[in-house]
Amino acid sequence: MSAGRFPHSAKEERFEFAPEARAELERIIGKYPVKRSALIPALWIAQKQNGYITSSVMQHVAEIFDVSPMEVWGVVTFYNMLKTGPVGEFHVQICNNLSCALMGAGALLRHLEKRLGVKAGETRGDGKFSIEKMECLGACGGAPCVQINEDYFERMTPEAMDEIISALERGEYVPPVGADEVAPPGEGAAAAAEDKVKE
Amino acid sequence: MNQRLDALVLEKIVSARFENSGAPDIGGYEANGGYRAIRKIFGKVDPKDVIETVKSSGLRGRGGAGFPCGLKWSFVPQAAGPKYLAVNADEGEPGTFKDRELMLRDPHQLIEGILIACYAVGIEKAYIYIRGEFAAPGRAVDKALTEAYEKGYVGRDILGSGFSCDIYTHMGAGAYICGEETGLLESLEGKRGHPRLKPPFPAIKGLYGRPTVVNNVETLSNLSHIIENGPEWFAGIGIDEKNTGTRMYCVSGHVERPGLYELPLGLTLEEIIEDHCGGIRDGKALKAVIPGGASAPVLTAKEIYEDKVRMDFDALARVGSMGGSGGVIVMDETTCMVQAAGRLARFFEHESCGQCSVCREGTGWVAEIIGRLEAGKGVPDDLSTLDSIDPNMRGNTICVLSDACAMMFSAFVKKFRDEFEEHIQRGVCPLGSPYTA
Repeated sequence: MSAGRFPHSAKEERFEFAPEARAELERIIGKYPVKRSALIPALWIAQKQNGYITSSVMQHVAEIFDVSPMEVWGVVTFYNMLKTGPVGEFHVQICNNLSCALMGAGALLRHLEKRLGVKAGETRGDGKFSIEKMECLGACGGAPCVQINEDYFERMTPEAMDEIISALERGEYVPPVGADEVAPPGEGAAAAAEDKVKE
Repeated sequence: MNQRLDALVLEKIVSARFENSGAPDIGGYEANGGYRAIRKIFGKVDPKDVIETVKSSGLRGRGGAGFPCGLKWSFVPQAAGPKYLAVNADEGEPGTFKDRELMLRDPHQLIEGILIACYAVGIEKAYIYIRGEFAAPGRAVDKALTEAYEKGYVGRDILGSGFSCDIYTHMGAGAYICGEETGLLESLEGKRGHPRLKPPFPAIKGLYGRPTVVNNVETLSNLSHIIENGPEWFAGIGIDEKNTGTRMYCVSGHVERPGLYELPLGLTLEEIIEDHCGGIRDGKALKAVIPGGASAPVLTAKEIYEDKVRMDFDALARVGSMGGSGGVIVMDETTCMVQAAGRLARFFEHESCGQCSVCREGTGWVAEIIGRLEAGKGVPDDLSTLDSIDPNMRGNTICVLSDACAMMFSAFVKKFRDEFEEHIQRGVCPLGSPYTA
């Protein structure tokens, strides 16, 4: 849980869902007998469009769901994955719970901090990478596990991590490692890089 | 009880199709026995008889509490009006990783299980609440749902039976407490995941105030097999009539081969570690094992190798631990028990939802005191302080996160007290704080 004051900003640009995002939201609202159930999905969609959740995102979402912006803020700050500030283009989330710690997550984190030049909880100056220490990611058989954006990378070593990071730096597509390999392809760890490959 | 010690059947049920790379596709699922169970019962078998079948199979919930599945269903009143199924796919208990793979490798098996549960209880809407980090499993289930809708297995008038059922996925956003069933329901209603006071239980008053069944992914994944092969077959696997079928043991930590092992209920932990996981890595000695996810009290090497503790629900309860979520975290002799306890204490502190002061403050105090011991700054009173915190954190809160934290740390402190005392006396970790991040 994060705390603090509601992030009012007079200078902030007004947020509105893009037409296709709004259509997606309407489709999701239709899944539930009570509209409010789509609040967290709405915040996910907003975060995808805007990068993170600002006060104007919360105000816009509050209007759609007919609740107060504070109510939305209460929800946003409860959930770890809803971000109220920017993270890197590649958000490197390293599991820090017991199974991963037993298998070398501590050393892997120190290596990552050195390799990326940024500390856990911070975003690098160029906006390319950020690191976050995570509680259990639910991939303990593949410990230590690292999640980059959406994708899981299991049984990571400093060497394997270096290769992945170098590939991301070169703008290459990097597929997940471990059980995620069998899933239908998504936007992936390297969504932006993948787009570049397609171009 | 009638135990079958010599004849535990080694049969895979929910992971039987894992090696088949075509299983996640509907064609592969159908070709391997998929959607036969719903054909067998939809419009042909009275829903009450389906509940009886599941009751007599002895299937217990695989999420944590081990509550009998059929009995849970039978609590739902027959009254008119909407009822719901909330599928708990918010897998977050440290050490547990089975639901993720069940969704990735056999998503149709889950969907068929959902359909059977909904048919039995008379539910027309199911929501699969998937933890936010599980983007890939979410995509796997979404794809499977699209296929199942196209084939008419989900939706209106399924297979011409007159039974209709819609299934939706719902992504969480990162909060362990949403795996608690009423926290899950609050989150599904678009709120903070604050657990609710019980009673009323969800079966009476759940999602949107309506009767709701909450079942775990693995529990539901067993249903098509029980319908197909009969409850006697299922009850014949496992050690006795109260511990039937298999569990997906999620083995992590210091074994040669960490991973998922689907094994009958009732093997000893020693057999799981030595015969199935290749023993302790690098020839090291075993020190301790958490047998059922972070909330399950830790077991010592003596309990495992000398007392031969078995891994069924009741045997673990008898030794003061629990089967929980099936997360088996193995720690060898290089592991510092103070650090291990501290790591988990910080987890519970981070994940406390904050609504009960006992939990909010208690988890914080426990994390602070154990953190101090880890850093070699412990004082002699710290252990008695921990002892005094323990009973106050039990039975005094809305949900059991506080109890789980207390069960966790008190087992570490009780069973490895020497190691805690040594940290205080020497002012340093005797093992060199091996897991400092």
